[in-house]
Amino acid sequence: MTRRRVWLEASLSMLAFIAVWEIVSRLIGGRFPVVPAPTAIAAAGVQASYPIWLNLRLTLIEAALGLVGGSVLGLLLAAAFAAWPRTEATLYNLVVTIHSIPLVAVAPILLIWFGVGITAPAVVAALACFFPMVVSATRGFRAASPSSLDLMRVLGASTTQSFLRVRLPASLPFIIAALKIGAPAAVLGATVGEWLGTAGIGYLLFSSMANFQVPLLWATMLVAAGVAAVGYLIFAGIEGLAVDWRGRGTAT
Amino acid sequence: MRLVRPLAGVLRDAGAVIAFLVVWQVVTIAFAVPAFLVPPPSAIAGALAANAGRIGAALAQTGAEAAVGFVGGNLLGLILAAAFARSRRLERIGLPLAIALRSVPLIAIAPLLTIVLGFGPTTIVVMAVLISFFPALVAGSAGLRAPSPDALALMRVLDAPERVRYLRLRIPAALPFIFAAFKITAPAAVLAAMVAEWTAANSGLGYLIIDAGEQYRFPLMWAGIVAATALAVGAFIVASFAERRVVWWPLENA
Repeated sequence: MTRRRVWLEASLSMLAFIAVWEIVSRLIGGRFPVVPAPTAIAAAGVQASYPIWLNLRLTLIEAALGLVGGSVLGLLLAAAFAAWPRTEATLYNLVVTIHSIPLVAVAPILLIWFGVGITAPAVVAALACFFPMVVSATRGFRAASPSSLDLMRVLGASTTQSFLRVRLPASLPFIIAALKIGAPAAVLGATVGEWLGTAGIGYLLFSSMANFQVPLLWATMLVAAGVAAVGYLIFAGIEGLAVDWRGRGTAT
Repeated sequence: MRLVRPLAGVLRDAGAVIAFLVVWQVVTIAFAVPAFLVPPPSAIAGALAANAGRIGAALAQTGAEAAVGFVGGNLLGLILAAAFARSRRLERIGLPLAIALRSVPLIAIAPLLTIVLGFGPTTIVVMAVLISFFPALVAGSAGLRAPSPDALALMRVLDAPERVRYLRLRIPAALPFIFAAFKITAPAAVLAAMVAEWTAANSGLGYLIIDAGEQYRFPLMWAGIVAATALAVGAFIVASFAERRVVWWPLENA
């Protein structure tokens, strides 16, 4: 009930904002061409929907590859940290150092390494979601209650068994939280990776800027924003279910 | 004891970094790795030394743009957070817009900002403002609401004026949140400035990296990346240091 109301109010204030924007830009009457009216942006988006879709499809593939690859690598590293705590002491700071290299600075190198194509953007996307997963999953594997782990040990479970039965389930909320951050980050990473390339949403953004196709630029940016938001919402929805499940688990 | 343990940690980290550099140097030379893949550290250091003037100027420019954007974005965000804390209605109208702005991938906004604000430092600073704004708003809003109802009730019972309630209770309670946000936004502002330099400048670190790559001057490109990383890490360290100096009291649930 209250949640629906929050959504309603949010949509109303967005609609009001768009309406004011439309009215103001009609009143000004094209004297400020770099900020077109919302209707003009929508028209450009509809008109260019096919090229936008072709480029978007590529970006989605790259972002999905990056999300899967980066998250799996991050999970494996976090699992290694949980299994051999000594590796964490040595490698964690290295991981933090690598993460602190600005992603935008890495993109040109990756483009040189992998050439123009889907690999470089996918790797940028993977890098963008790798780090949140390492941090979050490392915390998650530690979140298992010590008494459950003791119980497993008393019952004679192997390390693998107690990992699969106790540590992994306990870490699921953390993993989903990392995916919630990672999904929009992957879209963003892929977009940045395409910037210097020849296709994809990032390329479309760059080329419509260079060619001064202002309404198309706005439309493409809104599509990119929408896709990133959808990626977030998917995992936020899954998180909602997972939190339910966790709440019931701890209540008993 | 307290002094010895961090020192051992620092030594181990330094050892890991040195070992990493040595392995890198040996591998690139032993296997004759071409410079466009990975130049050896010695070549990067050489390029860093040979182009110290240019890299230093780019570093100073990007650092200044990021700093101005960081200050501006945090001021805006915190002022808005204070306004939201005083008026629920304003928050209900404003917060959805702020979240919508946030969900726009900020890096993707750079071409648009370049068109709207033009080629030049304004665009770059505004990018850094945008990236610093939202964490400041969220942290400020959460922080100003952080004092316990008991403490707020006590203030009311003691008939403390609004100004005192803010100075003694709400603002100190908000500081840990705000400084935690600083640690995120200080390196992010550097990143944002560099992205904007791709589209809206022909100077600065972001431009230097791209330009060196296009001229096949790979050691210079890597030197630029090293400088950019140092700037981002430096910004984070300054923010962490400031946090430890200002937020000296133990946190209940950090």
